[in-house]
Amino acid sequence: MDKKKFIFLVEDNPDDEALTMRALKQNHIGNEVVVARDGAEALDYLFGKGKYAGRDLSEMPALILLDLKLPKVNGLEVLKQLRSNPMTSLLPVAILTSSREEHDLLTGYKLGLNSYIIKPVDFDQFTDAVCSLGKYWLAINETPPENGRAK
Amino acid sequence: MRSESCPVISSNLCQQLKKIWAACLLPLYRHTILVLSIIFCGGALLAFWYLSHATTTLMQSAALQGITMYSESLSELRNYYASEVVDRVGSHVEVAHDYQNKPGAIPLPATFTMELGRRISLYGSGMKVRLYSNYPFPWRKDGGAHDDFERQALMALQANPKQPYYRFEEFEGRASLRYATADIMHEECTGCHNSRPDSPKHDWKVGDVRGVLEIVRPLDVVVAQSHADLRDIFFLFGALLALGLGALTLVITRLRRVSVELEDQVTQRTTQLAAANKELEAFSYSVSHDLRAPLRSIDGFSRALLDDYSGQLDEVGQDYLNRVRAATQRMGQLIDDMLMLSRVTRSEMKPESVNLSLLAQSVVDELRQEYPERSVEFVCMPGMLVRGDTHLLKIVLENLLGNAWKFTSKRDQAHIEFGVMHQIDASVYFVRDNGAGFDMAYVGKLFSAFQRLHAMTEFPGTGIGLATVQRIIHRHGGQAWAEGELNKGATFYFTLP
Repeated sequence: MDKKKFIFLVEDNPDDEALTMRALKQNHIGNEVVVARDGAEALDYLFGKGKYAGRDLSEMPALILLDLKLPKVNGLEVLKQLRSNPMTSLLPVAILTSSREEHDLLTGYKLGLNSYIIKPVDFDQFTDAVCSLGKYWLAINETPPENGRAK
Repeated sequence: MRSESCPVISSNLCQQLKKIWAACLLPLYRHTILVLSIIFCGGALLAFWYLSHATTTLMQSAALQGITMYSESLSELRNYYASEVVDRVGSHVEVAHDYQNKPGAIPLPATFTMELGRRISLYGSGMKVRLYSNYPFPWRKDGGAHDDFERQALMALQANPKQPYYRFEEFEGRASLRYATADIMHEECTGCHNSRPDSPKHDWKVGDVRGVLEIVRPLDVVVAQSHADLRDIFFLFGALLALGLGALTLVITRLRRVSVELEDQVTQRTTQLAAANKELEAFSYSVSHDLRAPLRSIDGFSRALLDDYSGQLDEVGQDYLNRVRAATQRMGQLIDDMLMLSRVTRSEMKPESVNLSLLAQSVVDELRQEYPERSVEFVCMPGMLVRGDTHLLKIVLENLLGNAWKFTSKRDQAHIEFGVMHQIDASVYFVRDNGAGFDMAYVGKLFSAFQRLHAMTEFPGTGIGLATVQRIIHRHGGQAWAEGELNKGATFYFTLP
């Protein structure tokens, strides 16, 4: 697989991070995974600010896996800021969360969410979900052209 | 089709009528005091008008009665005088109109009547007596008709001598009753009248109308008195009305204040309730998110242990880990069910027309797809239409039919039935199965959350399904209950208003 197509995982729970990594590895999704621990860090990384100032902004993730309940800036707020910035507005974002709240689902999709996955307790189901998600967004789905993203 | 469309039309009509009725009542509710004041004043005016009318009628009939007696007395006295005095004295005594100037003469009957009337009128009651005729004696200066009433009276009494003629009208500046009766020619009079040389008419016959006896009775004093009485009554009415309206205003104002206070209380409670709901929502959100996260870690890492370190674990160790995983997953299921139960209570209801038959069929179709190995006979009554929230009612049917499906799993000939019994006060819907059933001794526990009547190994489940069913039915304003017999089957009933 294309090494440049990397996954951006925004997750504050190290256990979930480890389990996600394990699930990806078990399904042979070898793409690089960049991890942010909270919403603020995620925004800094994507917009090249704070400790990520000067980052090469032409390199954008092929898929963002976003948790909803995050320290500092929550997942929906991160999504809102991504969608309002032309640089990141077309990036595929999948919310990966424990919450099944209707409000979150509705707000997420209204903000231009691409996918909403509820993390199952059963690790086998979790692995299946991560595998399908990775395969779909990284291999099957066609991303918008680069010039389209820059607009 | 017909049975469905008719109630629709009548319910539309009903709604239209209800709207019109509500529109009529709206001003009454908005301006209650004004509308009631108008109604009360109108009623009081009507009552007053009726009272004044009744007083006038009473006064007139009393006056008429009095004057009739008076007239009859005069008439009778005159007849008596003519027959018993004038007739008997014969030619020995002169009978003349100017008897006062002739010694030994007595008055003519007519003169006698007029003189009597004149004397009575001197008493100050203002009563007047007049005799007039179309054929007055020449020496009578005012013997003919003077005004319109007298002319009309003469005409009317000529035509109908037995019917007195009277009018209430102004006479000499005073409100009066004028009462005229016919002066009939009697047998004892004809001789005299036809023979006297100064008589204007000599062919009088018995029964002819000789003239008119009119009595005028002034009523102005009585009218003034009755007006004064009516004025007093009017003021009394006014005072009572003012008092009544004042009391009414007081009551309505008080009621309004109470309703405003109640509304305030409702608003306050609603706010509190909304806040409590919000808190509950936040709580369930964190339960949903935070309680599940550690479970996922336990399950995930147990799985990792089983995958990566199975060589270092004997069978017992692996079995323990599998038990850890099973328990974790069960706890995940419990959390999910608990959240569902709380969501069922909190979620907003959208009432609409729901076809329970179609809904039940789709639930059973899903069950058949999920368990293709099962052979279940499902009988469903068609066209069961109710009003409710589709999403919530589907959860009810999923739970009831799912239970029936689950508890008939050990039957070779599984049978599930969904239908309705129309009773007088409600339609009772039921889901009946021939499954494991239950002991009626424990029926009280059936609808409580996390209560189970069967062992996990026998039939899986978290014990939340029937609690959910009951909450949804209660939210719809209905009732849910069950009947069952161990190893024979169970029937679950619910009503929807």
